[in-house]
Amino acid sequence: MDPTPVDAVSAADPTFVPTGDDGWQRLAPAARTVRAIAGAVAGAVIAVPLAVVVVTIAAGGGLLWPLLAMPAAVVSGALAGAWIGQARWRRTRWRLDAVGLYVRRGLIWHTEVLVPRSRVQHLDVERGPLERQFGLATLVVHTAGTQTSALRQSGFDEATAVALRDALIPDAARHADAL
Amino acid sequence: MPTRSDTPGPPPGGPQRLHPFSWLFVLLQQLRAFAIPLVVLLVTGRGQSSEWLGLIGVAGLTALSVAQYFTYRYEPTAEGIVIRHGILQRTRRDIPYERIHTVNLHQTVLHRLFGVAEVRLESAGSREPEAVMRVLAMTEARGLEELVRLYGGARRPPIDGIADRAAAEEPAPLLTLGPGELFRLGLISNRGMAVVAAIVGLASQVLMESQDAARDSVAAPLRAFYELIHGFVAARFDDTAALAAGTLFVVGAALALVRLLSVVLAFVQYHGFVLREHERQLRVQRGLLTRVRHQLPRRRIQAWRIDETLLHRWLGRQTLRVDSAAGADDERGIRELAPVAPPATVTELLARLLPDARWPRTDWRPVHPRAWRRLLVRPFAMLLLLASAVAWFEGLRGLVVFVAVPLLVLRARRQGAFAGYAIDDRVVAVRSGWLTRRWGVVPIAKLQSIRVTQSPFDRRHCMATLWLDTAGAPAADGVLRIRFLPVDEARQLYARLVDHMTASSPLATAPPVPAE
Repeated sequence: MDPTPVDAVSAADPTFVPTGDDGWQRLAPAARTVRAIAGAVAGAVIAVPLAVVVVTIAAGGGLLWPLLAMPAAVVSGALAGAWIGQARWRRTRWRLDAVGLYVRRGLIWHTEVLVPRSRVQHLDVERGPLERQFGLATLVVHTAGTQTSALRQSGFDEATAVALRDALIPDAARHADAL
Repeated sequence: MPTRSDTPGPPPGGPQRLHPFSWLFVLLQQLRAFAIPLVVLLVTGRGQSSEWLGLIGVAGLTALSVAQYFTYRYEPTAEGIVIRHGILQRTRRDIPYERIHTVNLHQTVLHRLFGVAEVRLESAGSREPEAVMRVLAMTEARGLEELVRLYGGARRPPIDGIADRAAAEEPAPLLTLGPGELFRLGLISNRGMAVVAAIVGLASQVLMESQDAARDSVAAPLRAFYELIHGFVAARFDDTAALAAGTLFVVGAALALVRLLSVVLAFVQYHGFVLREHERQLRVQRGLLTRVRHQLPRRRIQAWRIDETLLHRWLGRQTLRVDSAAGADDERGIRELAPVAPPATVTELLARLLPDARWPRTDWRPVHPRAWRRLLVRPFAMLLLLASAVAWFEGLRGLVVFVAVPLLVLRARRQGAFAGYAIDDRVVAVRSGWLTRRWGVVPIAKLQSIRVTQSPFDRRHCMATLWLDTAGAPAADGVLRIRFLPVDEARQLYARLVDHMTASSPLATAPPVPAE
């Protein structure tokens, strides 16, 4: 996997054009780890009740089976979750150009969203505890729309997220487009 | 109390009070909020002390309402409306004219007796009205409405001309609904059904809780009615026929009753419906008992929708609705420009209000030729489920369900053939449906974001869905989308929309869509 060069984004340059093939960039490499961890936790949590149901149905009242099946279920659930998490990371690309911010994502249901610069209402940069640990941040782009009232993308380097926010801050001259 | 029409020009001087009787309406509002606790207090409390408590409560609320009247002031300034209120904690609220999307006037029968109205100032996106003025004299309310119209626009008129323009007559209506149209509206809309559902829910609740005797007393006339029909038919035919006839009759009578109720509701809600355009601002007034008056600047309209159900078509009518960022429901803003109107009238309205729509369009482009196969997937899955359920109980006879297959294929074919879109430099239009047809028109300048999605099914058929996200799309209708686009066409369309979206931003030299 080619890691995104962090210095491709500079907060000082307002007319920032990203580099990389065709302008489409990956999320921060650290985000892959975070996604995998989050996926593993979610997978393990989902696997437990599933395993309970399966074990009670399949193996009457034996004690040995649950003892063996539980750890196996948790481990395989965590592995599957981790794989899905990192696969999602791999599928996610973003691009910023003169028009606006593009995000492509989705493992099975593919989505591409464009929020033009002129339609940005306001922006948030959020940092969760796990994200802070890895120097990551989530960018939230708010529009006046209904379906995409907020485009939320996690997994940016903190510097990238801040630079993106600064690059997308709505221009005061565009007020006529406001609602 | 000065009326707006005789004050020379805007920011008419100083803070103003509500209508002297406003305390009465505030009190009624509060009584409604406290009605349940008060009733509980009166019912559960034994002896006279509870009645005293109730009286004290009402007296307290009255005092509070009067105090509210004396502490509530509103002041129209050059920038916006300033509201100061609060008894102990004083609040000052500045509402700039630009932020006010609509001034809604709400008049119940009691309001109309007093010649007053409840005024609600609505802004975009907020769940609650920006301000509720309970209540203003009708002349004042109209004055406020006019002030917001004149000052809310991008260009503020010169101050000296305003008095004349505010006093000007209301323009000729674009659309009115007579009794015939109201009758059709009632037949088409299924408003009665909602009431029936509510009644059934309430009745079942009450019946469950009351004793059997009470249940019989309510159900007895119905049962007697059924017995009568049953006996009448049974005397002539065998039992199955009697049962069938009885059922048919009861169902038919119930359906007719619901439609009748719908007609009555249509008369109550839409009596005296008038749509007017007053210098780029649309105004709708309607209601038999409670009269509401909404307004909407044309530039605030985000998307236009035309609906045509089978009943619409039989009666030669269509419905024209708009999405706006303020007031996604009928109570808080204009939703229906034409609740029911002949297609020619709808076309005329669109030609006047959104010339860019070039309605009716002739440049419809079809979606993917295999779209009908995708449209067949869900009904087929449902049919399989139904067939297996029937077969579970009835054995092989469950296969009878599959006679519906040709019908489903016909439906999918027709839907696939009708589905389409049209695009030019200014607007995108979408259409879909078969028995119920829907059209949507969005000015490209009003698009907020563009989204292209591909499900696994889409990928297998090389299709994609393009979502046209606008502000204020109501949850019931959803965001307009073009489904089953061939993938390369979706790409082209996407690129084209991106071009026009950015070109129509006010920074560019090209003039934006009719918005001011």
